[in-house]
Amino acid sequence: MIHVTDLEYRYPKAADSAVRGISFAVREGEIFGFLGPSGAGKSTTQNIVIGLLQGYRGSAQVMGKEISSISRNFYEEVGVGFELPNLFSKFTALENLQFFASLYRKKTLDPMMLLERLGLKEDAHMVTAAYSKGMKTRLNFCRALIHDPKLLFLDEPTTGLDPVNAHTVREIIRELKEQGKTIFLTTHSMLTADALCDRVAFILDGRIPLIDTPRTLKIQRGKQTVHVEYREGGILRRREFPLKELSADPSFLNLLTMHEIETIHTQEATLEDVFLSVTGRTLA
Amino acid sequence: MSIQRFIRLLRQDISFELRHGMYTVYAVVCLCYVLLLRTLPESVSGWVLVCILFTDPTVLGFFFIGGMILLERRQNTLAAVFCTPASVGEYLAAKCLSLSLLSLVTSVFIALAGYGTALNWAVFIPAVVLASVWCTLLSIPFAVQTGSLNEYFITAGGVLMVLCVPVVDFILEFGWAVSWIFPTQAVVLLLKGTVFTITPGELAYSIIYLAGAVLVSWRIAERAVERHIVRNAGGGYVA
Ligand SMILES: Nc1ncnc2c1ncn2[C@@H]1O[C@H](COP(=O)(O)OP(=O)(O)OP(=O)(O)O)[C@@H](O)[C@H]1O
Ligand SMILES: [Mg+2]
Repeated sequence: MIHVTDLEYRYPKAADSAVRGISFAVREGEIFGFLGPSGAGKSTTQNIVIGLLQGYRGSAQVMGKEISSISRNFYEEVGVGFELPNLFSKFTALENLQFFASLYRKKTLDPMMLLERLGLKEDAHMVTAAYSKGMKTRLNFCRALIHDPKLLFLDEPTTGLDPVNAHTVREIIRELKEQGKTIFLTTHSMLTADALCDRVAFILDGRIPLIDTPRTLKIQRGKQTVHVEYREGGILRRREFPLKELSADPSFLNLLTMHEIETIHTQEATLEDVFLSVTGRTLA
Repeated sequence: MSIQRFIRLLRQDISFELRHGMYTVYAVVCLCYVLLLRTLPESVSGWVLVCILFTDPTVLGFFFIGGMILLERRQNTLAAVFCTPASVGEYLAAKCLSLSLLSLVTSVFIALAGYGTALNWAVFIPAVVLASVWCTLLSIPFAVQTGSLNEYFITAGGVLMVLCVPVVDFILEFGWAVSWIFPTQAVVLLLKGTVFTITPGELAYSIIYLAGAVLVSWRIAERAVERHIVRNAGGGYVA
């Protein structure tokens, strides 16, 4: 779906390149996470791949075409949800969606259905100037989906949302994947990335040092141990056991039968740990 | 270019102008113009009408396009528009037509209510439309890069002032040769032609020069939008 090779970009008048020779591929039907610290080059890369920034070096192909030579029709099948809401403030939510929908030639989705899905049905006729931050974020998400695109770029779709709405958004993203859509997800939320992405890329200073499935990354960087919390005479105690040959470890088996176990966890890293170690900052 | 999409953008621009109160403000301005024309003696009202008809499309283009684009930039809507099949050309065309239609309606109203029907309408209509489209396009490169409305008024307003040389020339009847360099001279000649007379030579000069000015400013406006709006559309970066 997306093939990026040796991509390099320098903003006009900037001393340094913002993107310094990155390569990655996003497969059709996959949710691809794009993670990295602020200023790493995520938005820059996304803006190149969606055809806004011209004058890059290297190659960026989307749906089989080099992005520098796309026509306006490219956007019939591409949806972009930017980080900041893009809404006409003196127009209602419904009017906003209807306007954007009318710019496509293809059949678009029912705006009311989308609004309902994101809990905005009651406020569909309210001007967006009166919307709260989270409501705007949700409406902006609807705007990116309104033309039912094959390829979606989402920048921070869950930031600033309450847990229920964030959950709905994640659920919808999962459904889109089930429908065969490809999703390029930029986020700072390791929880969202971990919950959704088939693969994630870490970008750092305009380079990509790591691309893999969240699972592999977490296992590779974790300790291979099991952490047990149990009660012994009313006192909470903790112990760690090597993961290898756990079933043959007598002290572990003994613990299981003799004590009241409260929690058992393997010590794989969280995606946040991976992020921190990639960016050179470890948890204190 | 898709006609359907263009019409949709045009409708959006008209409701946008309406909801941001631009028509209300301008209706008041128009009424003032009409009252002024009605109180003037007939000997000067023709001259004043030319001046008012000059300010109508030019000032309208200048103020309204500046206001609209700065509002659109603040509401961050342009990024979303340019991530749809809508093109910069369609966007510009909708802006130009929405403002020139408004300009046409208001100037016809001012002329009819303030002066009467004894005008050369065949010159009047292209004069107002061309002047309005040209001024709108001319203001766009300023509107897309200035940081605030004040900065816009200073930069684009400065240019507009300089372009008023032919108007001063017309009012004070200096007959300056330098006036002919400004496309505004063409506007003045055409408007003078609608109230008084115009020679075929002046008519040809005016139409050709204004049409050329529209084409050149279209290219410049298109590039300015590409450069300052489309390429910064992703946001996240505050200069
Ligand atoms: N329009 C611009 N002009 C000049 N430099 C820019 C521009 N936009 C971004 N940059 C620079 O390019 C680099 C990458 O920025 P980018 O916006 O891609 O970061 P990001 O990874 O999206 O960060 P964040 O997580 O904060 O959104 C930064 O050093 C930034 O200062
Ligand atoms: Mg960013």
